[in-house]
Amino acid sequence: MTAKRKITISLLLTACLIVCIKLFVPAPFNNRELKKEFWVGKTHTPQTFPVIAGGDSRVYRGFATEIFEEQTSTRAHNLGYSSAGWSSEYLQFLISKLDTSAAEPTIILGLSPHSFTKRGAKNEHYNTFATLSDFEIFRGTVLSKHLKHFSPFKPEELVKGVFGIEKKSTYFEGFRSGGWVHSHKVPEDSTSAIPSYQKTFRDNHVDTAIISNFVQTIDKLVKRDLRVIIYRSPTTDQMEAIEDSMSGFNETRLKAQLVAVGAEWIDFNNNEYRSYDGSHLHYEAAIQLTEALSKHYLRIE
Amino acid sequence: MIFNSIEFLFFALAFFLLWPILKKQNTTRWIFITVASFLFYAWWDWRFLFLIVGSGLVDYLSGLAMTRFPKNKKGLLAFSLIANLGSLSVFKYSVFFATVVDDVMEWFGVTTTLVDHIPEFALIVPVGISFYTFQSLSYTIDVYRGRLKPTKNILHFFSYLSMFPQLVAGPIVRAKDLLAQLTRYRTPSHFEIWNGMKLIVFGLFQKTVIADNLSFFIDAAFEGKTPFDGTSFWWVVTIAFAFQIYTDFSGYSLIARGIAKMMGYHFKMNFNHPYLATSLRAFWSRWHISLSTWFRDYVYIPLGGSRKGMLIGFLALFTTMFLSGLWHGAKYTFLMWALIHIGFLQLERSTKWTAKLKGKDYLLIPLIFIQSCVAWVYFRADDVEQGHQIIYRLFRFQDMNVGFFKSYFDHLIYLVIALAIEIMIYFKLKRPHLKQWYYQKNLDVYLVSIAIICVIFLRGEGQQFIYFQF
Repeated sequence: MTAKRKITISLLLTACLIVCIKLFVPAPFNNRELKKEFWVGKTHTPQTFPVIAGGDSRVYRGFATEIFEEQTSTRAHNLGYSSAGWSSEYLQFLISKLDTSAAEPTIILGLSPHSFTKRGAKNEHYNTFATLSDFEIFRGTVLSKHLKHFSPFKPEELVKGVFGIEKKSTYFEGFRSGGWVHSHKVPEDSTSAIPSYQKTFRDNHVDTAIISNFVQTIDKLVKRDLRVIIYRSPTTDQMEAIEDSMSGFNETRLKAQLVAVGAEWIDFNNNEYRSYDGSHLHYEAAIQLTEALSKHYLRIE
Repeated sequence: MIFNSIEFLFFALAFFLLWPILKKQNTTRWIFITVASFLFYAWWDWRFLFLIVGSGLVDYLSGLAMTRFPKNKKGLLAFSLIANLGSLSVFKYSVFFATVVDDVMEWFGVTTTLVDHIPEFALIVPVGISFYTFQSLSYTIDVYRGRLKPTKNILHFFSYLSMFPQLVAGPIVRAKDLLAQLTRYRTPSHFEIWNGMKLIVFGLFQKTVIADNLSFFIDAAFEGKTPFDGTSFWWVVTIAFAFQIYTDFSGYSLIARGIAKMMGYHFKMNFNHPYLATSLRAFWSRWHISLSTWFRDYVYIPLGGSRKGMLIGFLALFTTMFLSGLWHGAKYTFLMWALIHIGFLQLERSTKWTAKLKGKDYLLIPLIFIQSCVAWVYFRADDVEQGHQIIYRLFRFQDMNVGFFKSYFDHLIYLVIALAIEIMIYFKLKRPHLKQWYYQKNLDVYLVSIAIICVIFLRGEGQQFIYFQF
């Protein structure tokens, strides 16, 4: 076979295979391009909002923006990122997205012990998107819409999809426009996240410098007449006990410091909220939590 | 701009649209290659351009001056070496050297903080600095040795030095191989285009399908983000990293060679299935060949090589491998990696154990692979302490549970594929009739199509090429 013929045949064959895949293979369960569009869009939105929510994955999975907007008739944006920590850069980023000309500009912060550790303050997930070049932002916000047709498959789902095998365990994630990730897992296991947290806290503890910088920033925000609502993200009691005993996190002391500088602290009872993995809230619990936060925001007792 | 990005796709499309028009005359061809390559490089940070232009000017002018003032050749070579290695030291090694000084002073009970006083500009390592510095140096050294006639045209020189396919991660192309090629233009034949296409597709497959899919599993392990910690787990992590770094780097080299082929140029092979080597010496003749031969020609042989007795041989080996470790980066971990290789190479040389087992590939290949894996642990570790801990876990033989396979199935399946491919290549190389059958049946046509499909639908999260940091 001549080289010219080889080039032609391989290109034709590739085109046929692409058509076959698009026709016969079920679309990927998690479209990576849509996911990219979500994170890039959320980070680089040109808009500012009267209400901003910040924190780690417990916040971006736990604060249902659309429910908050529905309940309060106020625009909000969820700027939570995986393993986010309270570095100055991240706090500044949250403030930069706040519409300070709104009637009552408010920042809602969900805390976890990890967000006060040095590893958390590295903000690797947030930085992945914050440091994108203009072209990458264009790629994430514009090209992703077209590239979503070529989103890659995970081998397991590809095999199961082709052979029609039903999944035994599935992680469902829905990427919503306000920065909320609507999630749940089947089957649920309220202890599955525990081992990785135990490992994380073996050599990664709450840092006093991060705590004091956080308190000082909140103090400055309150002095600028911004409303700051803070809560410890609900999880399971077991997780909270592990976090408190291993990380060096002292909730009572921090709460006292924050309240003293004028932040509004809300306590939640873990037992009222359902977690699918022992760390994050099931989307129904996220809605329930957001409703409670909305009531607090509207000052409804 | 990385090869597996949309930016590069646009860049390459624009380049190859204009290439047939602009390649015909020497001057336009050289200007086009240089401008395109500078644009490619400036995509990271335009300030990096000053360094490559500076380094290139030093060597271009030194080369010319050597022919004009032959009596001052030595001085000119020294000037080039000091300028190139000096800039490399400032940008790449200043933090390391400052840390070493601080550590040594602390040993004597004196606290110094040199590392905190390094100017900010020196903290940024320009992408691919080690690659183009070595490429530029080889030009001056070859001119000094009389093996190369310096080019008088500065555009000719910069089109060689900055040629984008190999600029940031090699292969390190020698001036004597590429300068002559750049003086003519030729339209690649269909056969060359097909070969170029195969190289690009297989390179992308190695990088995006194998290396990128393995990276999540390896990063999770080294960053302590996984609950698994047993011996079997760490062996799989180590083997996965061995394949990640191989496919990542080899993938880049294949793409670079493929693009060059499409342009009508030829770059030498940079990887030749190193994990199929039956001795560590053979491993080094198959791994990052352009760097290994650079060190062989400019360091190892001038130091005496292996033909001047055991002691000289050991010193030459030690110096070469030590510099090779340092070339990769300013970290103790790279020096540990080099020291392990020195130890194993010296053991092999003095006991000739691999020669005694000659023909027993089923023993030699796994044993050499294990040696390289042990060294890779330090190469990947964040610090030497982490490397020690992983080595301890590898050899304590506790917890041989393989339950983690289920958790990481979507990543480890690519390790299985990589292993299977290497085994098939071994048989293809060892059994000529299989190779013949492969070409008779035109299996490459189907493999290219399958590889493209895998690149589109099975690619991992786009990652930088690991070797960019060097």
